[in-house]
Amino acid sequence: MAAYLELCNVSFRYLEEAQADVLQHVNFALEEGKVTVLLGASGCGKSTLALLAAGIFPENGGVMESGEIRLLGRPLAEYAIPQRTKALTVLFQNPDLQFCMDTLRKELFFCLENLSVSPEEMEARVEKFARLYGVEELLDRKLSTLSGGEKQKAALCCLLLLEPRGMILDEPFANLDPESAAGLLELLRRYRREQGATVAVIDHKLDRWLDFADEIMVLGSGGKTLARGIHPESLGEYRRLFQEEGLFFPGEPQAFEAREQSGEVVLELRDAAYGYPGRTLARGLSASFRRGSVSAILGPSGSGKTSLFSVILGQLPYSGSVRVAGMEVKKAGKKKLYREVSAVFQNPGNQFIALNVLDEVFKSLELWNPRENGEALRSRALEILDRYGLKKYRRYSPYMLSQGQQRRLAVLSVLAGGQRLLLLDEPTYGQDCRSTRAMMEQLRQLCAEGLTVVFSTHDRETACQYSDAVYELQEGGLRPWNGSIRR
Amino acid sequence: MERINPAVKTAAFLLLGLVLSFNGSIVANLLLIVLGLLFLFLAPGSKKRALSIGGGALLAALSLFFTSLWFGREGGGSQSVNFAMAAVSSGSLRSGVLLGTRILAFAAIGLLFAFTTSSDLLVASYIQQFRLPPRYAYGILAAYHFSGSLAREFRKVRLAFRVRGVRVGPLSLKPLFVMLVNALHWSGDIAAAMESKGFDGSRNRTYRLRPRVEPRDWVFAAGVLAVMGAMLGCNLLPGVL
Repeated sequence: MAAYLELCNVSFRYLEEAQADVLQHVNFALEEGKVTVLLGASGCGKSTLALLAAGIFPENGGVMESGEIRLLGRPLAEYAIPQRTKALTVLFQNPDLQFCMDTLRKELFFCLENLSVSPEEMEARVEKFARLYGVEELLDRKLSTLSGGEKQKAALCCLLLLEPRGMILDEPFANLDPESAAGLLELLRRYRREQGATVAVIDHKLDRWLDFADEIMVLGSGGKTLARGIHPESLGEYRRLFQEEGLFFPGEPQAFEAREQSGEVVLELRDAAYGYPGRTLARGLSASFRRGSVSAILGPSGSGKTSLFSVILGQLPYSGSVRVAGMEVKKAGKKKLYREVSAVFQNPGNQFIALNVLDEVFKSLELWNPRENGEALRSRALEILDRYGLKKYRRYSPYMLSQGQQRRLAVLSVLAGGQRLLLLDEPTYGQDCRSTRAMMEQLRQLCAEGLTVVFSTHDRETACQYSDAVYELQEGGLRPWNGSIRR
Repeated sequence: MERINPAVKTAAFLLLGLVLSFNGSIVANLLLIVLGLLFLFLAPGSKKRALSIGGGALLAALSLFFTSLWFGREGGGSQSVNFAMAAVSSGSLRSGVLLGTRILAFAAIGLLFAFTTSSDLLVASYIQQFRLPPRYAYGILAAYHFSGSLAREFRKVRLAFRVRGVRVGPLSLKPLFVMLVNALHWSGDIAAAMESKGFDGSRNRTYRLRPRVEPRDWVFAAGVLAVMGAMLGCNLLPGVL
C-alpha cells in the first residue's frame, strides 16, 4: 500500500537553546486509507508529530534540525496551505480554541472561502453537508453556547466539509463525556464510509477505537516507533510493552461497587439547587462526603459539575443547603471557607505563584501560616515534596513540569493551609496511565492522612478504580452511580 | 443604516468624529445626539444593551460637566449665574455643557455605528474596500469572537488565586499576568486551528459576503457631509450656544 505520510530522520526542537530534541531522528510512515491509532506516554512527542505533519511547525515556530516530511509522495514544504489542507488536516484537543467565527454556519463558509470555493456554491454545499451528517440543528447556534461535545463535533464538521484525503485527530475525546465521544466517532465512521480517508488518531485510551482501527502504533521517547502493525486481535502480545511505557491497556468491563465509609461528614448537600439567571443547572442534590474518602462525579458536559464546585467554593448562589465542615457556605466568610476547602482546576498553570517548585509549596505555607518561622516552613515544604516524589524537581520552574506533575504540585500547594476538603476538576484530563496512577495514588495517600477528595471526570475507569463513591450528575440530579463501563 | 457599506460608514463616522472634536457649538452636539439616537431607535433589534452603554456615557458626561462647572478655568464669562443654588461663572457653565454634550454626541455616533454594523460584514468590507490583509482581519474577528470567553477565564484565574489564600483585588497584577500568558497560548492554538482549515492569510481566497459601494452609500456620505456642514454653520452662530 502507498505511503500517505512519511517522516524520514526528522529531528525537531521547540527552542534553539533547548537541551534535547522533542523528536529525535524519527522515521515514521502512515499507510493510505487506513485508520491508525498512535499511542505513547505523555510528552513523547505525539502532538508535535501531528503539528509537523500538518505543517504548523516549523513554519510557525521551532527548529527542524534534520529530515524531511513527505505527504502523498511530495515534500510537505512544496504544498500551499489550502492544497495541504485538502491532503491532510488536524483536529485539535481543545474545542474552545478552534473557531474564528461565532456560528458553525459562518465557520463552514470560512473554510470554503479558504479553499476558494465559489460563493454561489457555498450555501448549497453547507446545507447538503449538514443534512448528510445530521448537524442542521447546530448550524446557527452561537458556538459559545454549545457544550464541549457539540463544539468538538462542530470542529470536526469543519474539517469533513473540506473533504480531506486524510486527517490527524489529536486526543479528540480528551474532554468529552462518553456519549459525546460516541457521537463524534459515528460522524467519523460515516465520513470513512463515504470518502475512505486516511485517519490517524492520537489518544491515551484505546478502548473506543478497537473496532475502528486497522493498526495501532506505540511511540516511545523522542517519537521513536516502538511497535507498529499491532492489530486489535494481536493486542494481547503487547501487554508488557504497554506496561513498560505506562500506557492504558484496554481492560474488561467492570462494575463499580461503592466502599463503606465511616468518617465524619465533611461536605454535605441537602436538596441543593443552582444555576444561572433563566436556567437551572441542577436541583434536588443531596449527598454526604465523609472524611478520608475519594468521590468521583460523572456527568455529560454542561451538566453542572464545574458549577457545583463553584457553589461549594461560594462563587455561585444556591438554594437548599451546602455545608463544608459544618459551615453553611452562603453564610461563611471566604477566608474561613478556604481554610477548609481548596480546589485544583483544569489548568494548574493558573494557580502558580512562585518561580520554582520548592517556593511554590513554601510560599503557600507562608501565606497560610504567616507567624511561623521561615526556615521551619522551608524544611516542611521540602519534606512534603519528598513524600510525594517531587523533591528532585525543587529547583525547576513549575511550568517546566509535565501537565501531570503540575497538577500534583498544585494539589500540594493548595493544601498548604491544612484544608480538609479538596475539589479537583478533571485531574487526569489528557494523561497517560502512569501519570493518572501517580495523581490518583497521591490523592489516596492524602486521603489516608484525613483529606476528603471530590473530583469531576469523564473517565469512568479511573472513577471506578480509585473512588469510594461515584456519583452521576444528570438531568439535574446527583445519583450514586453503579453502572458498568460501556465499551 | 445597517445596509450602508461598513467601510463607507467607518470613513464617514471618523470624519464626523474629527469635526466633533474641534466643534465649539452646543447646538451642533445636540444635533448629533438627536440624529444618532433617532437612527439608533429606527434600527431593528433590541436597544436594551445600547441603553445600558448609553447610561455609562451619561454618567461620564455628567461628571465632565460638573468638573468643568466647578473647576473649569475657561474665561469669557465673567458674569456670574445661579446654578443649583450656587453662583458659577457663565463661561464655566457653557464649557461644562459643551464638554458634557460632546461626550454624549461621541457616544451616540459610536453606538449608532456599533449597533447597525455586523462584525462579519465589517471585516469583509475592510478587506475588500480598505485592502486590509485577511491575516489581520480574520485575526481581529477571531479575537472579537473569543472575547466573550475572556471574562469567564478571568473569573476562573481570580478564583484559582483566591482559594490559595492569595489576596486578589480589582487591580491585582497577578491574574492579569496569567491571562497574558494564557492569551499567548490561546492565540497560537486558534491560529493553528485556522491554518488546519486552509487559512493562509493571503488574498488568494473567495468571499461569500461581497459588500459593494452602492448609490445609497453615496447618499449616506452626502448626508453625513450635510450634517458636518450644519455643525460648522452652528459654530458661526452668534451667542453662547
